[in-house]
Amino acid sequence: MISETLLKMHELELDIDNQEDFADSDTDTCSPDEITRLFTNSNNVANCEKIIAKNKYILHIAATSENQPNIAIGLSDNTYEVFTLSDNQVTHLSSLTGHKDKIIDCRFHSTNSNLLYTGSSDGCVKLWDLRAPQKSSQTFLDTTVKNGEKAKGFNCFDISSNERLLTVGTDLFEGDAYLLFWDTRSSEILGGYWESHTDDITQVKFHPSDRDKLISGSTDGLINIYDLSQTCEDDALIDTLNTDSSIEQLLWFNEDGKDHISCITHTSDLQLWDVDGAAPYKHFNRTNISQEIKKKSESYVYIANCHATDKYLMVLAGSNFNNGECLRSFYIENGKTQQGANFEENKQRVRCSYYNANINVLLTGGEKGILNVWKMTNPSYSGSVKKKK
Amino acid sequence: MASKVSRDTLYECINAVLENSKEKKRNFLETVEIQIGLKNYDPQKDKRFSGTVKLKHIPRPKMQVCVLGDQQHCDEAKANSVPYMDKLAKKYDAFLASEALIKQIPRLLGPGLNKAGKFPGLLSHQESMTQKIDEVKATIKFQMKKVLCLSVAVGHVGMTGDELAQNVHLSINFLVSLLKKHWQNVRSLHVKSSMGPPQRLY
Repeated sequence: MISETLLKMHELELDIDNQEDFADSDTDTCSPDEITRLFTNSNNVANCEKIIAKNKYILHIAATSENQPNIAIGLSDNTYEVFTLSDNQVTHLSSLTGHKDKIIDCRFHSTNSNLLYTGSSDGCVKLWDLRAPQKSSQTFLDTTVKNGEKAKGFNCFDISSNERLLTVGTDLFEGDAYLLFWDTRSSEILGGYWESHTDDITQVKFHPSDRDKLISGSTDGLINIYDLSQTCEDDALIDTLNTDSSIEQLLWFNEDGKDHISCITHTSDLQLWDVDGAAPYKHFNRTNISQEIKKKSESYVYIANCHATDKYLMVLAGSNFNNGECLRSFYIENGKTQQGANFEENKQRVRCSYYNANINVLLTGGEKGILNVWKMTNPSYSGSVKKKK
Repeated sequence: MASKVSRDTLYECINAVLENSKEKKRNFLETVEIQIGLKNYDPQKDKRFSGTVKLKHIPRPKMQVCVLGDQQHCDEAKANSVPYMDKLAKKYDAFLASEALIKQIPRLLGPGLNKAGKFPGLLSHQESMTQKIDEVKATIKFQMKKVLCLSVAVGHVGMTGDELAQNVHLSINFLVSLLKKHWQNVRSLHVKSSMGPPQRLY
């Protein structure tokens, strides 16, 4: 006992410079009543907690925007599972197998819900027609790689708003990190950029409506903005935003008709940028995030994802403490924040999510292999008093 | 839990590192690094372990920061004898640029500075230039790739034991807090100088 106390005192001495050691637990900063007052409780849609796979993580989710959406889920065993959601029931449609390495993302065709793109770090993006899911209908490979040569490891991909261009961001490969491009109608690679990043490219995101505008993010900390109507990389690179960190997720969002970019870093910071900004106009560090979700310990906080709704940016964040049961959301509107939902029934660290604005449903997946379907309540407008549930 | 490394162990290890480097003087300033080994961590499915952290004391004093400034920043740089220029230089480790310039860099220079891994940080008129430069010098980058260990330079043997202890302590706390199960994800922790033997902290 005594030695323990002594130890603590020693640490306190070392901590005079505000280097706080982190706690062994994480609790709310306010009473349960206060949490109920601040956050709306988002409930699982009846029967919509589905255990997809025990001992596997759900790492990626994509869905369609229809009222009865198709849902694709990427698992840590390199396979994808496809479901459909109707009448509050999740029904299994098919399993997609064939990727040989870690899966990187999946995305539905914007107008045809039967077409799904899946990617893997094995160096290919596959297009599937869910009406014939036994085999992928098209495979996009780096066709410049000759037989026997090592292929670049893929890390992320996206498709342009008009569904014509596929771009892939790669890991650092022999000193270069590549952005590769394909016309979606052909398997032959169009070309690539490799001058704008110095490390693994973790995110590529096409602008939601401008088919020529693309952003890429990397562990080198840079967000690059490209105008793909230009003929070469030198001219295509129109802006670079330096986050001074390492980029995990990027998202385009719109506020008052202006384009913004949200950036989640690997150190659980959230930065909001104007596309023409020289610094983020809003920066939430871990302390700020834990304050927004009313948790005491910043050392447990993580950001699961951000979603753009028509008026707000919705941020999903939680606590790693225990099994990561705590999951909450908050909204950002013109830089101002407001508490969102408390997902009381959550049981896992959330690794991916998809928001369907049409039916106001949020899908989350995570480290216990559970898919949750949450019915969301729209936040009240800023300034007005929040209704008590 | 607080830190699993006691102050005594921390100082013991750091003093051993400093002793060793004194016994065998090298003709360069040895870097002091920490090495962290992970467990219960799967790079195939767990989040990336990557980012930056600002330390209390500058670990790389020889790092050269160059300012790409507007007129006001160039005057300030001259007054503080900070190297500055309006053209690109290869010989510097890092760059800071004024807002008006930072937005022109990709259009004027293409991806040159991106490719060099030296895209400037922002230097605003609201902050002190020298303080900002120290901030750049004190910020270290870490990234784990595929293998379950990571090495980060946190200082050099010219620093005092206290300075090193503070940097090591801060780095460990920050890195461990990023792991989802904190110390349960740490297999081992060492501190060593460039040429010296590793000292086990945990």
